[in-house]
Amino acid sequence: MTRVHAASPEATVLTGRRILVVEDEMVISMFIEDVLVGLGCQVVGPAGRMQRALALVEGNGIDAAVLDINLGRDGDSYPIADALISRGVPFVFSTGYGHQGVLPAYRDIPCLTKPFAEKALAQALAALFAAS
Amino acid sequence: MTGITAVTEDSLNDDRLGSDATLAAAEREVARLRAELDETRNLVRFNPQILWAADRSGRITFVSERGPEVTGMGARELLGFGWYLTPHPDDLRPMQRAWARSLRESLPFDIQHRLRLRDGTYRWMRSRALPHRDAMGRRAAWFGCTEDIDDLKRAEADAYRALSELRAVYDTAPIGLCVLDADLRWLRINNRLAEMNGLPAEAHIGRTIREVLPGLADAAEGLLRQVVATGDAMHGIEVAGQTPAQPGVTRIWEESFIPLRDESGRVIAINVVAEEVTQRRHVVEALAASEARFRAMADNIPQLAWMARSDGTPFWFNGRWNAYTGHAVGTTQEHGWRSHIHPEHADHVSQRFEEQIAACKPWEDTFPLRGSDGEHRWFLSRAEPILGQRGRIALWFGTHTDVTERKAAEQHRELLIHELNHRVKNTLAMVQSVAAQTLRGRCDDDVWQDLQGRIFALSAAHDLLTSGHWEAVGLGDLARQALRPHMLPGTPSRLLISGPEYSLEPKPALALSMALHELATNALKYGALSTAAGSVTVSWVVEGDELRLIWRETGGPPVSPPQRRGFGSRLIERGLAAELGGTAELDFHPDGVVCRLCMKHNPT
Repeated sequence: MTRVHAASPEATVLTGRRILVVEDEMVISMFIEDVLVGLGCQVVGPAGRMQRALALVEGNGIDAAVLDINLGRDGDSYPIADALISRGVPFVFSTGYGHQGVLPAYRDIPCLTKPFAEKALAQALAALFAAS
Repeated sequence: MTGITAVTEDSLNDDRLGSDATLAAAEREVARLRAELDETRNLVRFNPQILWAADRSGRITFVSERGPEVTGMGARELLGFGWYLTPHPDDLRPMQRAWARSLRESLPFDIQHRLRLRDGTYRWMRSRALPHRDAMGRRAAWFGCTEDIDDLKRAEADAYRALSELRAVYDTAPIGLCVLDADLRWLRINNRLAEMNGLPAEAHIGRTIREVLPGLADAAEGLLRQVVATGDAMHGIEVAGQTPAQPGVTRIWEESFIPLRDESGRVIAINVVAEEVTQRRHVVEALAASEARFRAMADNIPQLAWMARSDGTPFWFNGRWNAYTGHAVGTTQEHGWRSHIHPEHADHVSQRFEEQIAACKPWEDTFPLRGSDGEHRWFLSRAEPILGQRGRIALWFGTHTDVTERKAAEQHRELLIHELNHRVKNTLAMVQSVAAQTLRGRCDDDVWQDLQGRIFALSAAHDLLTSGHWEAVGLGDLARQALRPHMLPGTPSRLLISGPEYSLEPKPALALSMALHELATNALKYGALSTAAGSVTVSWVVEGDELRLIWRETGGPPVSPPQRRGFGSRLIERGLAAELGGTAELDFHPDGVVCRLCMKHNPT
C-alpha cells in the first residue's frame, strides 16, 4: 500500500518532526501513526487518556500534535488544546463531529473530519509549519 | 221681631192720660225694629251665598242682591221661573226635575249644577233649599241658598283624575301588588298578582290568604304577621308554593312586605310587592349545576387550568394549579398566574399573552412555570376564548400541559443523535484503518484508493443525513455532496445538477449517495470527468407518482461496455433498485454512460 510519497512536498516539511498523536480509539491511532511514519515523522505517544497526553505535552518534546477532540470517558480534550496553545505548539483537531461541533473559542484551529484521507492529514500538518 | 207692644184701641183712645210716654216708647220700638231690619237686610245682602225664597208652588219670591251680582240678570228677572235662564243648559232639566220632586214630596232640595255668570262663563254651584211650615203646619215657603263650589269641584276632578291614574298604574303594573289588612285579608289587588294567583281580582277582596292560596299560606302567613306585629318592613323574601293558576307546580316569588300605618302609628295594612322569579331561579340553578360539572371536570384533567374574564384576569384556578403552585383555593387572583412565569421568559410571554387577549385570538406558548418547591418545569400553555351572548367573548379558558419530560426527551434525543453520529464516524475511521492495515503491501494502490473512496462516500452521505437529523435529505444537496469530491478544482461547469426540491428518506438517500459515488468514480477514471471536455448532467423530475432521475455523461471518450459487471454496476442495477423500490438502468452508451433511475414517489 502506498501512502503519501516520501518525496512529496509534505514529507519535505515534516520529515524528522516530532508529532504527538492523541486518539482514544487504538485502531484509528494506528492509521494516523502509519501516515506519519510514512512522512518521515517521529510519533510521540500515541496517548489515549487525558493524563498521559498532558504529561507528554509537558514533556516538551513535541513539534506538533494531532488531537482527537473526544476522548470517551475522559471527556473533551480542550485542556490538552489549552496546554499546547500555552506552549505555542501547533496542532490539528481530529473529530467525527465536524467543524460545528468544536467550541467557538477553538474554531480557528484546523479541523480534520474522520475518516480523513492520508493526503488531507499530511497537508494539514505541513501547513502548520508553513505558517510558522 | 218680638217685643212689640201691641197698640190697642184702648191705648189709642186714652189721649191725655199717658200719650206722651206711649209715643216715646213707640218711637223707641220703631227705631229698634228699624235697626234690626237693617241688620237682617245686611245679613242677606252681603252673604257670600245667593239667598233666595220660593212659594209653595216653586216660584221664586225673593233673591238676594248676590243673585243679580253673580248672574248679571236683573232682580225681577230672577223671580218666578226666571231662574230657568241661569243654569247650564245641560243641568237645567235635572234641576227642574229635582225641584219638582222636592216640592211634591217636601224633601230637601240639594243639587249641584253649573250657573251662568255675568261674563257668560259657568261655575259650579250647589243649590239647597228646605221647606218652611207656617203656624198651622202647612208648607208655606221654601228657603234656599246657592253656594259657589266651583274651586272645590275642580279640586275634586283633579283628585279623581289623579286617583284614576294611580289606580291604572297599580292595576296594570307588571309586578304583583296587593294590600292586606291586619288580619291578612285582601283590601286591594292588582291584575298581575290576581293573574299569578289564578283568580279574578274581585275573588280576593275580603278573603284571607289561607282561604284563597292554601298552597302559599304556610310560607307567607308567619312573615306577614311578623310585619304587622313589629312594624318592620321585609324585603327580598323568597316565597315558594303553588297557586290555583298552576296547580301542582311550585313557583317562586321574591316579595317585599311594607307596613302601612294610620295616624296613631298603628299598623293597619301591609303593602305587598311580589315578583315571580321561578324561571330565573331555574336558569341560575341550571347554570350553577353546569358550572359545578365543568369545575369537576376541570379539576380532574391532568393540566393546570384557569378561567379568566374577557379582559384576561383570572377568577378561578383548578385543583391541579393549586397543587402545583402551592396556593390555597382562591388566592392566586391577587398574584395573577403570570407571577409564576420564569423571570427570563416573563416579559415576552406576558406581552404575547396580552396581544392575543386584546385581539380575541387563541394563545399558545411554551415556557417554564415555577412550582411550590421553587423549581421550574416546562409547560405548553394555551388559552381559548369562550363566546357568550351575541358572539362576544365571555370567558377565557387556559391550560398548562407539563412538557418537561417531553422537552428532556427531545434534548436527550438530540444528544443521542449527536453521539450516534460521532460513533458512526469513528467506526468508519476504524474501518478505514483496518482496511489500510489489511491491504498493506498486498494490493495495488488504485484498489486501495477505490476502497478508501467508497468509505469516504459513506462518510459524506452519513454527514448529510445527520445534518437533516436523520429525517429527510434534499435530493439536490445529496447530489452535490456526493459529487463534490470528484470535481477537479476550477471546473464547476462540468457538472450540472437540476431538478425540483425533493425530500428523500434516510435509507434510499444513503443508497443513492453510494450509487452516485460509483458513477462519479467511474466517470473520473474512464468517462466524461476524465477529460477537460467532458461533462455530467444529473437531472430529475416527478411525474405522477414516480421520481425519475437521469445521470448522463457527454463529451468523454468513447464508451464500451465492461466485460465484467463490477461492484458499482451491481450496486446500481440491483442494490439501488431494491433500496429505492424501483428500477435502475445502466446504459453504456457509446457517447457517454447514461443511468436511469425510477422510483415510486413517496412524499416525506
